[in-house]
Amino acid sequence: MKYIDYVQLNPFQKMMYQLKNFFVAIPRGIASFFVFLGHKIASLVLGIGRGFKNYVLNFIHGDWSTKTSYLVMGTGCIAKGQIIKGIIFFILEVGYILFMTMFAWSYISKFASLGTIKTTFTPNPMTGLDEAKYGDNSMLILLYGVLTIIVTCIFLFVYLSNIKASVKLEALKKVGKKPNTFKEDLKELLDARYHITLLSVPTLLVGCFTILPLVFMILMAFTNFDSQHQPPATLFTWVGFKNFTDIFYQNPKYAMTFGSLIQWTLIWAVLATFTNYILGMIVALMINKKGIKFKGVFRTCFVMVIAVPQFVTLLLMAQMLSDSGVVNVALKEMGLITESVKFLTDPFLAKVTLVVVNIWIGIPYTILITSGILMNIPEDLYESARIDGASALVTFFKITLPYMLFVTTPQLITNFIGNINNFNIIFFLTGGGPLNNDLYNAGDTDLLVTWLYKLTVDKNDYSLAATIGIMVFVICATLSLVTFNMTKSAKNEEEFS
Amino acid sequence: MFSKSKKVVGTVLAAVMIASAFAGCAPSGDSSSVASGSESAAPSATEIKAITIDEAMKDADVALGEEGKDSEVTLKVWAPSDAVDMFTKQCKAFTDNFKDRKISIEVVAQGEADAASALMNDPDAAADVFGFASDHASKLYPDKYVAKVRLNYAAAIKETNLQGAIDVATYKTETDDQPYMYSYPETGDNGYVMFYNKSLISAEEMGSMESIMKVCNDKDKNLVINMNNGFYSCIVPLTGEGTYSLDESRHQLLNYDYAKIGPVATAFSKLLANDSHYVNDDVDKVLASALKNETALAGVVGTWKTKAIKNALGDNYAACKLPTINVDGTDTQIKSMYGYKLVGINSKSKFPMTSQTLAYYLTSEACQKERITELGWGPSISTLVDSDAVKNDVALSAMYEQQKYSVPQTGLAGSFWDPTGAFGGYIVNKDKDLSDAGIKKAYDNMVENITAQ
Repeated sequence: MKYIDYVQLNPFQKMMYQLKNFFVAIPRGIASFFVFLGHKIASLVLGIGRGFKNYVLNFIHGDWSTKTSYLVMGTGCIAKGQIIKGIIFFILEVGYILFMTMFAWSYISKFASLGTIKTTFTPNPMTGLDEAKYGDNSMLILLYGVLTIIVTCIFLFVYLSNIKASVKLEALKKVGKKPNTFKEDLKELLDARYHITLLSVPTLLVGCFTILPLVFMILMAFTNFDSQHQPPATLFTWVGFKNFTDIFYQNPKYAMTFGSLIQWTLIWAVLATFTNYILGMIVALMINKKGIKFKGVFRTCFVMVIAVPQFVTLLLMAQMLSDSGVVNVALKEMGLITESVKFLTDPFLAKVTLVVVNIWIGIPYTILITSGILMNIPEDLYESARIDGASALVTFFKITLPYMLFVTTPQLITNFIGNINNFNIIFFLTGGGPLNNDLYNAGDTDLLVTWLYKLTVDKNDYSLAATIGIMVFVICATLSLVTFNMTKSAKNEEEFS
Repeated sequence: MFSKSKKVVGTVLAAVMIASAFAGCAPSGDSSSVASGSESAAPSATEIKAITIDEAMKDADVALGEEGKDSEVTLKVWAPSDAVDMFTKQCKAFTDNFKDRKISIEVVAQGEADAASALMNDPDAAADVFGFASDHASKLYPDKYVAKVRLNYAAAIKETNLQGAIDVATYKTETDDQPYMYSYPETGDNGYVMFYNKSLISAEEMGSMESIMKVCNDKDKNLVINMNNGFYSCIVPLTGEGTYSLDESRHQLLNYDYAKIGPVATAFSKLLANDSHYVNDDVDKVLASALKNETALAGVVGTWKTKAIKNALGDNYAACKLPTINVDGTDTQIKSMYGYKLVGINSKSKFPMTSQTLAYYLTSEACQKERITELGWGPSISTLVDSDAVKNDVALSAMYEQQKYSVPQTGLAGSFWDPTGAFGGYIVNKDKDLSDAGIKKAYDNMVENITAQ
């Protein structure tokens, strides 16, 4: 469609056109992401191939000390005068071998099966107590197995840099230059290569405390670590993609639950995000309107909601809205109803209640965020609109909303993702209820995260929970990447004035 | 190469990154598990010498072995917050009894409802001796989070305690050659009864569901039973003579017969679903206040609410066993699930002998008796059940009356509760399909969900 055609459309058609474009763009966005990923993987594979070629070539062309450092690390450096560096390489090699033999081997060797020996308890007639003979612990094997793999990767890097150092020294020697002394190396680490000094420790720790647990959790999704397989008493093992096929089609109950929860999760995220956003903005506009007195008082009233801890508010609301809670009793006393309104126990009404209560708690945040931006919109825009005879509604949709969207889209996306994972409100208000036997261990208002929580805490079904965690991550990552890349704020950052 | 200030900023940022990597690290104990113990032949019954609590308390060598002779024994005990003082006192009596041993016991508040999960999260940091409710038994026993009761003590416990309490304390794990006791029975009142306002309804009228509902309608008052919660709504399958157990790999087995349960479900449904004076709500939260402001005249709730309800009703406070319900023309006594509280020993305890004897002492007749009067905890020891202290307590005597019509809370998998609650909620919800076919479908759904692999 050409621009000239576009401007002739009525507002509704324009919106439909934009919406169509949005959805048409999604597959393209996803496709380009995978193409990008493909390129990266291809270049990685090529890089590895090149590295391997160099590895062999260096061995063939290297001198004797380079050749020995393929086996005994550091000999290349020592032979060419960098004695301390060489010794450090050697110590690292010894350390790695000790680490493998003394500790890691017993775990990594069982990594493929995750353990085969069960723990046994035998009563001792002398004391009348059980004596434990601990067997394999699948969880520790998985954890330390991952740790070993990471350590091995780091060691491989060190090993290759040992060869590289030797080759480099050889080249230096050929052109007649003197290799750096250890002191000079250290000095360099404090100056030219200061970034390495600074970032080595954090990188190591991020690896240990962020990447290791993450990989551990992800791997859990490929095991049968559930209530029937709880270490140390029982073992668990690899099951491949069974958990994933289960939630998609293999196990009808899981698939049904996953399907209906994902629907509700998305509906909830959309409703919760946009009701808060629009209504919050409208309230902020009303407070900001010229001629309104006591603006500070109104604002304070709304901010008070934030001052009360959210879970306290939610628990109170749950009490008030229960079938024989204050609200129902009051309505009955007034003679408006004869039977309790099932605010939290009717599947549909519970969902409505959730959205409404979420508006109540969420609006103050939007007010705070939007007030400042609203005041920043140039007044002359409104003035000229008024002169042209635009109504309040038109100015809102033509000036306020586009301006706000431009500034707050990233925040809107964050909110949306936050609402997909909005644990508090569901857990404290309905607890995922009302219970529904058509679903597996979930209620009608459960989101994927609260289902995940129930699976881990009530059922110890860790593998299924890890699988759902991965799925939630995939959904959130795709949605936020695709939508963010399509927003104006990401496309023309410089346009913001 | 770099300016100094850049270096400083860089160093600070790196330090922050290091610090953030440690966020979430909490100090934890040594979690290494060391293979220990020698392989010994399974003991035959004749080798185990039974030891009563009196014998144990007299002889430190028998009760504690070598523990506390050379180095100090430090034990941690978990008790509910309102019972911490009581347990501190009883633990002190225990240490005073073994003056020649170095024992120090710390009593820490930890609700029984969360004790099991707290222990499973971090067994090394958990208490050595702790109380828990019988519904957590199926989590703790099979994976050996708790140690077996010392074999020498088991015989005496089995002799003195209620059969139901022994049932919930006993389990046969995959590797056991026979069922063993895995915990010490502590109380015998972890169930629910009917509490009512005796100024509004008489004891005879409390005898059947039909007469209760009639009084409710006459006086425009409510009856509150939480049918959304599996703990309460299991009265439907249990009244229909259902039983349950676990198979070898801990899947739930249900011995349910729809021919018997169906009519009970229909009876509940017909009586309650369309009656606006029946309220299906979270009794833990609402019953006490509903009884206080007289919107309700009776309700079913667990004995842990006794104190609150007593305060709410004052002189009108009364309790009785669950009523009968008319199933196909015959008045049938409603059966309930009956829980117990148990004391377990952390299987990672460094001082197993002292822990075992302490638990044995804490659940002995003397200690249980003290707790009836001081805390109102119902005993699990049969002789105490028949004592005056229990007979004079309205809630406890109703409780033990109900115990005769109950099924012990054991042999339950985690999958039991929610589906049972959903079924209970279904049959009393007039918006649902309550025809015979509809109830049958909801029932099948429940059974399928409970026994799902």
